[in-house]
Amino acid sequence: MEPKNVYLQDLTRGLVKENPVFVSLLGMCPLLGVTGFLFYGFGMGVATTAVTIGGTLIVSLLRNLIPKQVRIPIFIVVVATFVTVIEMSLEAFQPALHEALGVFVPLIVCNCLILGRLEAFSSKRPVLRSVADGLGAGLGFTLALVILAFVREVLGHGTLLGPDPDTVVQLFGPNFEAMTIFAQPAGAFIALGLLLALFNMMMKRFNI
Amino acid sequence: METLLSIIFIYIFVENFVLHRFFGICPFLGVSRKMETAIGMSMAVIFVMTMATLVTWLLYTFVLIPFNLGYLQIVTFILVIASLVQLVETVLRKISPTLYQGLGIFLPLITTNCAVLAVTLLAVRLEFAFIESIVFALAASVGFSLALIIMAGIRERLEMANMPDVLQGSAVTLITAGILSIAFLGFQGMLSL
Amino acid sequence: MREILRLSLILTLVGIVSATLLTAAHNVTEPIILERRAADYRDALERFFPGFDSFETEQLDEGRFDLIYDEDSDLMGIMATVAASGYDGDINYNLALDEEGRIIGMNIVSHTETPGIGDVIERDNFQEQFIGKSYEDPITAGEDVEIITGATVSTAAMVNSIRQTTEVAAVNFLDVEVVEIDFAEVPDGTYQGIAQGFIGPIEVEVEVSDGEVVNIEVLEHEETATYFVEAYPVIPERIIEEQSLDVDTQTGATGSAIGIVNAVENALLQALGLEDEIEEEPVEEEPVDVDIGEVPDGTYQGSAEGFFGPIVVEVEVSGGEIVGIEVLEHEDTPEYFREAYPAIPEQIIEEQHFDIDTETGATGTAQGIVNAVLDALSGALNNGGGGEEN
Repeated sequence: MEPKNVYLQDLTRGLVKENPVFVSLLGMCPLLGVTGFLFYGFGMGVATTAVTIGGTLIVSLLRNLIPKQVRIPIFIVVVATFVTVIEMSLEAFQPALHEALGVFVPLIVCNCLILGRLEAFSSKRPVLRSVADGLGAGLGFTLALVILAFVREVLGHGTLLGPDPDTVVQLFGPNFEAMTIFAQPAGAFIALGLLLALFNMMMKRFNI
Repeated sequence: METLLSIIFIYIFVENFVLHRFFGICPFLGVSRKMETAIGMSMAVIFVMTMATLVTWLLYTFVLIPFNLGYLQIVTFILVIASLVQLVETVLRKISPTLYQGLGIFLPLITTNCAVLAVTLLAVRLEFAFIESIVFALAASVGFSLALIIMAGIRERLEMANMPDVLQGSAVTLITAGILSIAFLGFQGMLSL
Repeated sequence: MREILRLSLILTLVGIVSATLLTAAHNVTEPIILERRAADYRDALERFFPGFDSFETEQLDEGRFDLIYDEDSDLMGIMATVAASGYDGDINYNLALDEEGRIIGMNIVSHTETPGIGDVIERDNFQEQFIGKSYEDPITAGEDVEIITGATVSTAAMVNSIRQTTEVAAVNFLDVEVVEIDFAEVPDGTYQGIAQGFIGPIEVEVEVSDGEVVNIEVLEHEETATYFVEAYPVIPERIIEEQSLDVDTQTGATGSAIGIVNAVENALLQALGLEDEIEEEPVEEEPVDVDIGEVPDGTYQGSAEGFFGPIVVEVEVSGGEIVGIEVLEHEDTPEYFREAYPAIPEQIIEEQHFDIDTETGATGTAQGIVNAVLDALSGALNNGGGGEEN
């Protein structure tokens, strides 16, 4: 196997074949909690990806120095540090997004997707491969967030790029009655359940 | 007293942690397959959430705030939770092997249960007083358990249901959770703080 | 033992490194965050008070009030930052008042009302109805502003909070006199008073004997029974016990509690001759009456304001009777509109007069349709009877 291929493989594995959401059902809380609007879902995806890259980078760099017995607490501290930095930056530069994501930003710490990558991959592999793997997992997660948020915003609000009045696009004209249920918690569960079923169906179809 | 009762009602029913706030979805999906495990997990979560909130609230109010270290909140809280889980595990193993057999396997899972971190963070963000925080954590964890146990009851029957295989497993569980969440919508607006 | 020591040392080291990094990050971002918050607030102020120079913050129990000054240090107005207790938690908002206490505008900062239902409070149509109103106006649902059916709690909470805020601002910062009532000066007798509660007017009867309020009874109210019990009879009991109107109104039904206190105040003010007789029931729109019999046959168009925008109707008159009414255009929410249409036109055609019951699930729309029909017919009559016959 050519070395270049390895990186590409590490990167793309997380997108579909081992998608953290659709295949492994990781990171469900933010996935359901912040996908009322496309912008929020995308923001959460980017924030999570940033933390994953940071975490994989540091952990793979220090992989030979971290004692086995206390690796989990160290991973947690590393991740929590990055999360705090991300939260501060969001508050400083994207206040509206920070307000909307609320407590789900600190909860990125608990996203098993990140700890999973650190434990299973970064703690044993060289830096570049680990980062490629983390980026792939982050992008896969972002993809899932964006798809679910797209469905929920279109059905639940009848808009795109909301709720910021400067960018919002009304899709269906003034007499459209949005399916409010999709903007609410119940709709998040149902939409994700149906998306999962759709994903399963496609996986079967194309024999992935 | 009235506030405490409101907190209890609100966080068990109105703002149920799982069905309305989306905290702790992973264990909600992961361990709701059997009633027995669901009850075990519930007990462990109630215990850890309440303990963790007690410790983090004190830590936040008497250490982080006076020293102007509010920004270390996330790191300290998650460390408290992780060490607490470790401690409980060790103590349980020594003191009550039977209880440890029941709860032991769930304890490590709790560190990554975002509902626990969420409850500790919200207790300080919502500016609850000490007793209120404890009651809040208790109510939130009972709410979590309620959702988990209801779900386990439903899933034991779902196992036997006939359905398209693409729906089987997580997909149908999520849709069921959605319907459950609609049922809980009935509590919306009954009380607010 | 040595192993444990080594591990704890490593953990401590990791903790210290992390804390150091975070402190650095905090020091970088904090000034940006604070500056950005201040800038955001100045932007909001600039929107309502263009060209303002400085402001001065006053913290009251009800919220934060900023007195806005222009370059010459003249008061331009007040920006209030307050919270209304909505359906599902607090609604935090800014209310901008000009130097005479009139509402310039408002800005919802954050809320947790149900998406698609309670968030109508963010809509311009809802907010614009308050503009220009002041502490002298009733700001009362059903009188000069409307609450929105289907989101009654959220919108009524806003109406009540806005009324209270304008009053608080006026009393504290605009030198508006508050009439103090001395119970001892009230002659013995039984007095009736009325004031706005949470949802509708509350009517009370107050009995005064030997300079003391001895009995307070609510004669009529429209509040939700389950909440009203939280305010009644508790509030009257408190007033009688303390012999003061300055009682704690923090109950499970604060809106109703304040309503009761204000109704008692209203009754006593009348007893002292400080206020006119019981205010008449809110006068409906000027009753334009049209004698349908005089309208020549034909089809006429008319329009009137509905709940969210103009409603345009086409009315067909034949043999001195209305035989058909069709709504050509409207901007009201479809699901509410259905409550009024075609029920209201059918009722008009059946009864051949306009004094019909518009209390539907969509009163604003229903009244709009009636007014539009009236407009069409009076237009027909004013055109010298000729009409725009088609």
